[in-house]
Amino acid sequence: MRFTRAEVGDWLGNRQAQHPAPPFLLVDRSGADRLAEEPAVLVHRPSLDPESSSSTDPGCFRFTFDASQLRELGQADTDEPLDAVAEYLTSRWGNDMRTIVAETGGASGGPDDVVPDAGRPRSVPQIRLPGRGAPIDVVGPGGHLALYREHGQIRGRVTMRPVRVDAAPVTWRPVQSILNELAIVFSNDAEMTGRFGYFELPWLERQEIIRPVFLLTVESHDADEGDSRAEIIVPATAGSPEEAGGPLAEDSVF
Amino acid sequence: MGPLKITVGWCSQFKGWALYRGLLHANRTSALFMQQLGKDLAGGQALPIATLITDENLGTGTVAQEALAAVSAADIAYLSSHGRFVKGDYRFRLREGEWTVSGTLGGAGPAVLVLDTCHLIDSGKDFRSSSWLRTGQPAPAMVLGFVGAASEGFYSALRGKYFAENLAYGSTFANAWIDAVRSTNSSDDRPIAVAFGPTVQDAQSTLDTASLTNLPSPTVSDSCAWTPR
Repeated sequence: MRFTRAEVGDWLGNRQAQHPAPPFLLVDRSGADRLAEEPAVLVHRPSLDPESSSSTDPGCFRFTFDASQLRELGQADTDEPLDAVAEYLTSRWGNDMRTIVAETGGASGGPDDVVPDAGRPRSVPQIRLPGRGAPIDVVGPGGHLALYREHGQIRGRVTMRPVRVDAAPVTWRPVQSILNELAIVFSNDAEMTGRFGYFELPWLERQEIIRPVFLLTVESHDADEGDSRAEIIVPATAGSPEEAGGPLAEDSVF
Repeated sequence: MGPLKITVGWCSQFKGWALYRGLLHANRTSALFMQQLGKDLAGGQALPIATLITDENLGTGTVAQEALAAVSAADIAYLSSHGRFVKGDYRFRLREGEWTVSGTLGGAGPAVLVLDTCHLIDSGKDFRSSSWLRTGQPAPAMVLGFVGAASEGFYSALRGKYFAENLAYGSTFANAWIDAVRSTNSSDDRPIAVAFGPTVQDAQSTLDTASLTNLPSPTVSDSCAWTPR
């Protein structure tokens, strides 16, 4: 959705009026990391804290594609197009609750090649909550799988934390409360694109709660000063008893 | 190989501009890059040597000679600000005025220049018709940046950290930058990695292989190769 500053309140209100407030999601650390058990990949999981054994969240790691394992599984080897490898992994790693979207490394161009327009829109990963209607987008870098060729290998990175639904009741945050927070970063000439969804952090970050947010991309253009683009992420709901530990509980506008 | 020389810098507020056009998180991308690289390289080799230049110290009206020297002396320079692509020129926004970067760097260095700003180039343009390419013009081996707009935000600013982490892992500069942006972005930012050289083949080789353990050398901008296409 694109809109002006004056239309933000209507957009927020309409979203709230048409849908019940979605629950918080808790990152599930209770079981094994199903993705990391994939036999065709060699997992690399950096330590987050050199003083301890803590490492990246489940579902968040780098990997190298093991060509020998791939051949054992009856799949083609690393000379296959990256799209084929991506399709294999997304079919294995997606599940009933979460879809995963793959990005593969791009080709290169020369000095006379025109930089293309953005092209087709990127697919959006989603979370499907049992018994709760339409799936909800994952906004932010979560839900993605990246693949690229490097040093003769296929390398990749995945960001898809296993989650469970928090039972605590939630409500929408009052629209005026959100508008008050946004007022300090808005300008009259800004254009905005708004999205709603669950915000999942990048793969090296520790995340306990994945919460619904309104994500606004605010762009302004000036002939003399140039362009600017700001990302503003605002919590959309409130009410979880674990909110104090959430990633956006204190700093609600970014 | 001696310690890696890193220069980081940013402009966060701009004289005469509306307050909302300041860059609240300009410091975060380049500072996180330096912080993470220091952490990742600790214990393995000599710690990087860091030089920091901020805001008015980058220059007022034009790029300061001291700033230019610090950027040129670096192996990797990471700079954050506004940027725009106007009439074939990329212009880095200083606190006051702009710096047309092409042609001012590359004799001594840096090997790799990160321009964490909007508009290193725009879609619909090609490098041959820009001032990035000039026969015999000194240039960094690589320039990393964005096609069009680049997001400013608390979480998208993590790209500096992820760039460092990817480099320490052994990724090429090109892949490290592109994946860093994609790992941290919530909008439709488009990272781009450009390598320069006497020929397209030289530039392509740099694009495909340059890394922390295979540091490229400053070169000339007779030709270039870039990704992702």
